[in-house]
Amino acid sequence: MKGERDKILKIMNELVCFFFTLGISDPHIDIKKTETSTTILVEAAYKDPDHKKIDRFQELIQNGRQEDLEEYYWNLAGNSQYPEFILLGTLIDSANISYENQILRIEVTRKHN
Amino acid sequence: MKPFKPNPSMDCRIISEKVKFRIILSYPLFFLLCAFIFNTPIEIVNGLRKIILSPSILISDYMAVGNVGSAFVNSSLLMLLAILIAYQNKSHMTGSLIAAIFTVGGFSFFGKNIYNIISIILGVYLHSRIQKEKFSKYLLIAFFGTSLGPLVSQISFGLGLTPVLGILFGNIAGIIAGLILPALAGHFVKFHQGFSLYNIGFVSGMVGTFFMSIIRAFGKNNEKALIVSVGNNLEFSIILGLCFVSFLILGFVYNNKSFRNYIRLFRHSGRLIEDFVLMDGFAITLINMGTLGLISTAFMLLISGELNGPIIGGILTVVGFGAFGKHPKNIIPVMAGVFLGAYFQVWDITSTPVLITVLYSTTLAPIAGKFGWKAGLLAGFLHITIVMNIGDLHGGMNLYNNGFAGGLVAGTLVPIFESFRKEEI
Repeated sequence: MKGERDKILKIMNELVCFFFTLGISDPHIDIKKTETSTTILVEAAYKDPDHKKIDRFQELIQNGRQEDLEEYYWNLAGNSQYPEFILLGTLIDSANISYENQILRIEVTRKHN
Repeated sequence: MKPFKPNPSMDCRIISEKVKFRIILSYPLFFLLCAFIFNTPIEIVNGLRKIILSPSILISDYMAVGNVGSAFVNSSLLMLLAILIAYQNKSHMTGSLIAAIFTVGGFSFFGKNIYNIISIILGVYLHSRIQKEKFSKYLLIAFFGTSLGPLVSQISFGLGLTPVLGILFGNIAGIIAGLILPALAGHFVKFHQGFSLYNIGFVSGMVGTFFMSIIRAFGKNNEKALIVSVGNNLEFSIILGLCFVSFLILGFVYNNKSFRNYIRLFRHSGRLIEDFVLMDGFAITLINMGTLGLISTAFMLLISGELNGPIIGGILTVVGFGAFGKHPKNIIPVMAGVFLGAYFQVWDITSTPVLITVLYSTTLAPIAGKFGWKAGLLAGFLHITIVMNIGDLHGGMNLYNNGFAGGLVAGTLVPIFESFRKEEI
C-alpha cells in the first residue's frame, strides 16, 4: 500500500520519542513486517518508572485506528519536537504495554488494509 | 503494570456512536425548522435557486443573495449530507468530524451550496478509487475541501460563459481540485507543523491561486464581492443562544451532571491533531463547544457587530473546532491580537471582513496554546495584515482565506519561536 513504509517509520519514531521523553536513551527496536501487518516492538531497561506518563501514553494510543484522520494528518507524526501520541494511536490497530522486571515493553501492530 | 482501564471521566467510551450522531444531527434539523420562522416554503425554494446560481465569491452572504430561510435550509442540507456520508462510511463521531460538519454548515451561510460542493467531493472520491483506498480515509479532506465551492460556482455562473460551457468547466475544475487536494493536504500540513487548524484553507488558497492565475491568463477576472445582510441580531442571537446553551446542558448531563474536568481541557495546546473527543470525551467537548459559541457570539454583539451569514459561519466554525483544538484559553489571545491589529491599522473594526477575521483567526489558536498568550497576540496582529492582502491571489474562490493566511503566518512564526526555545537533550 502506498506510503505504508513511511507510516511505519513514523510510528517507530513516535515510539522511540516516547522512550526519550521518559529519559530512556537506549531503546531496542524490533520490526516485523508481513503481508498483512507490521508489528513494532520497542523495549528498554527502565528503573523508577513514571507511571503517570505511561498511563497517559496508554490512554492516548488506545483509541484505536481512525482512518479518516490517518490520511490527512499522518505526515505530522514522527517529529521529535512535537510528539503526537494521539496521532500514533490513530495509526495503529492494537497496542500492548507492559512493565515487568524493570523492562518497559511497547508492542504495536498496524494492519495493512 | 496495571491493566488499562478507561478513565471514567472519558465518557467518549461510554456514549455510543449512535447517540453522538443523533446529538450532532439535531443541530441541522433545528436549523431546518428555524428556516420557516423567516420565510415561507415558496420563498425558501426561490432563495435556494438564487443561492445555487450565485457565483458565491467571498464574501457573498446567502441571507442577502437568497433570503434568511433559504440560507438556513442550505446550511442544514449540507450538514445533513456530511453526516449521512460519514454515517454511511462508518466513521466515528470524532472531534475532527464534528469540526468538519460544523465548518461545512457554517460556510453554507456564505459560499457553499449543494451544487458547488458535489464535484469537489466527487474529485476526492475519484482520488480514493485511483489509490484503491477506502473513501472513508479521505472524508475530512472531502468535507474541508469544499472550501473551493466558489471556484465551481464562479466558473459556472460568474465568468460570462454560456450555461453549458460554464457548468461543464466549473464542474471539471471542481473535480480536478478534489483530485489533487488529498496529495497536497498531507504535504502542506508539514509547512506549519499543525499550528494552523484550517490546513485545507492553506492548501485551497494555493489551488485557488493557480486556478485564478489560469482564469486571468485567459483575460477573465473575478469582481470583488461584499454582499452582507443586516438587521437580524435579535433573532439570530436567540437561535445561536439556544444552540450553545443546549451544548452546555447536554455536556453537563453526559458529564455526570457536572462541569468537572472542563478546565483540564485548557492544558491542550490545540495543535493538530488534538482531538478533544478522543482525548477528553464527548461530554467535555460539548461543554467546550457551547462555551466557545457563547463567547464568540457575545464578543460580536459586544462590539456592535452585525450577525449575518458570514459571522454565523465564523461562529459555527469556532464551535466546530471546539472539538478539535480550540478552547477559550488558546483563542482569546489570537482574537485580541486581531482586534488590536484592526484598531491600530486602517481597517474598520466593526466591518464584516474584520469581524470574520477575528473569528477565523482562531485557526492560529495552537500558537497561543503552545508558545503562550504573547505569541498568540502577535500571531493575531500579523494575521489580520496578511489576511487582508491575500484574498486577491485566489480572487475570493477559496472560502478559507483565513486558513490560507493562517498557514503562512504559522509556517513563518513557528520556526522563529522554536529557534528561541531551549533545545531539549
